[in-house]
Amino acid sequence: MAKTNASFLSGAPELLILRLLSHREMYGYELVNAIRTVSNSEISLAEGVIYPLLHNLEAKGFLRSKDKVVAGRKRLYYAVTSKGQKRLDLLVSEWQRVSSGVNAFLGELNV
Amino acid sequence: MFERDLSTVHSRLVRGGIKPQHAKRIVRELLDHYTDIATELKDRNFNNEEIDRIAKSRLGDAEMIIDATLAHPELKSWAYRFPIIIFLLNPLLIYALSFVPIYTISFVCAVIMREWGINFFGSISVFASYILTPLSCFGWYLFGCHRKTPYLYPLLGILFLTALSTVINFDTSAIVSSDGAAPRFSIMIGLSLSHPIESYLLTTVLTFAITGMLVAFTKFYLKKPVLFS
Repeated sequence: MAKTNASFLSGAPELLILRLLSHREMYGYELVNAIRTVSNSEISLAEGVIYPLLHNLEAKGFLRSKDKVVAGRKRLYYAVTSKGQKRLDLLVSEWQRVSSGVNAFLGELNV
Repeated sequence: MFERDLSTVHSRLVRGGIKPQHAKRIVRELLDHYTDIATELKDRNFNNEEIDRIAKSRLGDAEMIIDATLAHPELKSWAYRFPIIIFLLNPLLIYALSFVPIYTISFVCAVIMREWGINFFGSISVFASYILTPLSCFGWYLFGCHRKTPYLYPLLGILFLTALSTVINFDTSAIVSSDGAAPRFSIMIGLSLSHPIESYLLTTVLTFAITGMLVAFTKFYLKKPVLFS
């Protein structure tokens, strides 16, 4: 499976992670699978890169982590904080604004 | 094999200034992730060789993960983000604060135990003046080793601390009167920028010599050239 062009994804992983974790708490492997499933495999990242991103978001106070034992294995679950929820709202509105602007270029150009 | 890759990732992250707790956790999460991928592939009847190859490919190579982590300054330790404060100003603060408990204990001894306590007070003063500097320096050196910082800042911290100790003079005295009155203490702290005391210079030389031996020991015997990276 080809990796997604990184320059198109600038800032998007943060949005995807916050959006998925606002739905429910997840651990890294689960999160990567969710990104693949929701995007119909259109977005594919090097899976190990998700962890620095998660740690960075946690350091900024957008996420919190908690150890949980599930089926005999200790997992580190991540969840969105209230600060993270506000950040998500901001990112969503920015993304919609930019994508509608870019979409306008993909239609017929009358310049 | 994968554990060896993770050990490299951990070492490179800490050396790159990532806080040890983040480096440790990232490695643990990568190992868990690898195990999850392996379990998934095993259920789909892949053999061990294919599992290892595919799992590594999906995780991405070590360099990519290291670069992605080092790109986040929030994950870096204070020692890396603000080395001047950590290695130059903190030693000064710790050095100054370390005198408070030492003199408090010696005052209490002098008040309670009179003559014997006065002698103890004198010994403590000598200890505080001559030994605290090397001790503070060793502490700083070990902190630098633990954080795998570049050699420059811990050594600058040591230089700063020892230079400071050569120009700061402590003159302490305690007098017990025979009429049973409370002992009188005096501590004079002075700066002698033009005439540093010879004994303090000796302390400086001693500190550098012992620190140098520690660095050499770390580099040649423990094979951890952490201060020479």
